Amino acid sequence: MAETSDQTTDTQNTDLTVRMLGIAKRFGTVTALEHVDFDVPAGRVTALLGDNGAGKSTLIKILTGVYPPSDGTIQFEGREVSIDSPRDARALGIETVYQDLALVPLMSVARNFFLGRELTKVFRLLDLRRMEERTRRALGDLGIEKFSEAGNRSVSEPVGKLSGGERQSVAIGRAVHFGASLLILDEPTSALSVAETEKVLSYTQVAKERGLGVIFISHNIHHVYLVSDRYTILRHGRKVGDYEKGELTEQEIADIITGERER
Amino acid sequence: MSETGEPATPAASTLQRAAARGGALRGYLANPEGIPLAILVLLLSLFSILSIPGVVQGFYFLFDVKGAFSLRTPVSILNGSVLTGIIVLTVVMLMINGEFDLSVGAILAMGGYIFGTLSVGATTVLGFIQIGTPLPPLLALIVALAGCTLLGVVNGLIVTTARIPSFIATLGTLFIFLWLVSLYSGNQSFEASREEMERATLYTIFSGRLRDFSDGIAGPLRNLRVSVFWMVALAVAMQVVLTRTRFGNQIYAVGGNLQAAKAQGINVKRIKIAGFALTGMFAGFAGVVLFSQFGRVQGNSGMQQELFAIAAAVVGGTLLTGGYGSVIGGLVGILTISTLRSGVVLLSTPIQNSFIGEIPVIGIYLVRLTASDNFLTIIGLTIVGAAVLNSFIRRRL
Repeated sequence: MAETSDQTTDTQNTDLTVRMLGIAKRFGTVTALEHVDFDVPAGRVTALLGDNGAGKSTLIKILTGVYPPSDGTIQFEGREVSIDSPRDARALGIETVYQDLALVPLMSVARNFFLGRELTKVFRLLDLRRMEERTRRALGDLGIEKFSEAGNRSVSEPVGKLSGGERQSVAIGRAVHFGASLLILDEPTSALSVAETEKVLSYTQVAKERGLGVIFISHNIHHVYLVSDRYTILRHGRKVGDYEKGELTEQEIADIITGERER
Repeated sequence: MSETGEPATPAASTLQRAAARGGALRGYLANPEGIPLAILVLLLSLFSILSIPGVVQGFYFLFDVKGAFSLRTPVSILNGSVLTGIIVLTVVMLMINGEFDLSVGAILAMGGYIFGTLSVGATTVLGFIQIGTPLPPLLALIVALAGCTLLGVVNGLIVTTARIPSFIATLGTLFIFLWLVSLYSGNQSFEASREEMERATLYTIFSGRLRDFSDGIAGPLRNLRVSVFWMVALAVAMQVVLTRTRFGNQIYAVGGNLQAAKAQGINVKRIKIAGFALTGMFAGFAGVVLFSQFGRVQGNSGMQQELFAIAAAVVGGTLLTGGYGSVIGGLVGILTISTLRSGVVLLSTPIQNSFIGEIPVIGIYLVRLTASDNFLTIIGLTIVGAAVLNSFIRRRL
């Protein structure tokens, strides 16, 4: 990660987890993003909204190191950074939870939880007992009781046996437990039942209370409305505006996204 | 199996839960090697019962001509499983990782040649063999294993940097490595004399029979080759590596969901190259065992080993799609194939005998159908059967 050391960063931004300034992205002659500013405050849920093709996923891919921006700068926790690969993003503490992409279905919950950070004991053998205990405890701390001794799920069960919501909870729990400072939830509720959706939405609140910056991306305006503290709305690669919770009704959000209403 | 009680593979963790719900059988079946092991036991029992004196006349599996209990056939099954049995251990690992290695047969031959020539003291320049001073056998072993590991690394580099399917990449290197073998050997077999074979104890350590070590062992067990113990020891070691180490955990993860593994910061390239390197080393060791056993190696010594190894892996419950499988299952797979092979060959004579003379035409057909060279057909049927059974059970669980 090439980090431009900038000691004189203004301190008023330190409560922002991420500040993206003047971001532009061009693919050949196609402009996907044009001068977008995007702030993600720590300890709040920021919804990123827009119709298909509005530039949401391009913006997130720039933030997670998948694409380099054509223009603009990114500040992470007050320091200007350049995120050149997903590995860089991860090193900064940016965790993305995608539907079905985060876990290995044939491996146990505990093995998934510690994937890439396995605990070992003597002779460098895996310390499965400790991994399972810590997974149980970490998920319990997040309010996920299903995996506790009394619950109906076990951390030694393969992830493939879990429901969509249970998988999301494991992925979110993992991100929070390992000290992520920014949690990106990309359509986390798109394949979930109503009951499960409520659970997953409640975990976003836990993450927020832990002081993480949370970016919530969803097509479901109702879900967005329930959990988000702020909304940033994109249309045709440009930012329409930033809004605080309570400033808009659900209907108004929908109207701005579709362009029925300007600002 | 361990103090945590977690079963043999990450995938098999259902064991505990299912057992807790009272479904001990279901839990057992959730192990990748569960069903294959049950089938092997059934098969052995079937052949044993059929060979009880008086059941099938002329079929000797667990009893000899005189009707006495004899381990002759089981010992020969074990001895005959060793070469593929060593190779299958890492082939299973590669398949769990989502890759294939079709070049293991060529690497086996290379290992046999390097170990054979160096330990006997021959040097070859494009096949012109000159006898000089023998290398200490242990050094010959190290050079052979290093050379074969290097071939494995070549496979890994091609697959990871050129990003072509390993099936194609290693099909190519199979022929390239065979060409290297023929360059090294000048297209000739290499043979050690009896005196040379007796001079180096390493040959005995790798592939001697139990009678070479102790006079106290009676019966057919005297003929059991110690390479069987090497095979079992390596299987246990690989099982521990795959289920109890970070490397093994990441092998399963990369094969099970490449994107998720990458997202968790796993160095996929390194894992894959290490997998191919280890496969090269094991194939080379199989070549060393081969030379130790026969004192002879030739270009086609490892022919079709890649197919038998994949067959054994599939029969042993490993999925072709990656992320699921077991080394112990692979071993069970090769033992199943060997048992079927011996059993069918031994059964063919009594079956033919019982029909010939009564209805001549059927007799002739039966001779054809059960002729001993049909064992490849039996293996084919076993593979298809095993694959169908595995996917059926996995869908039900």
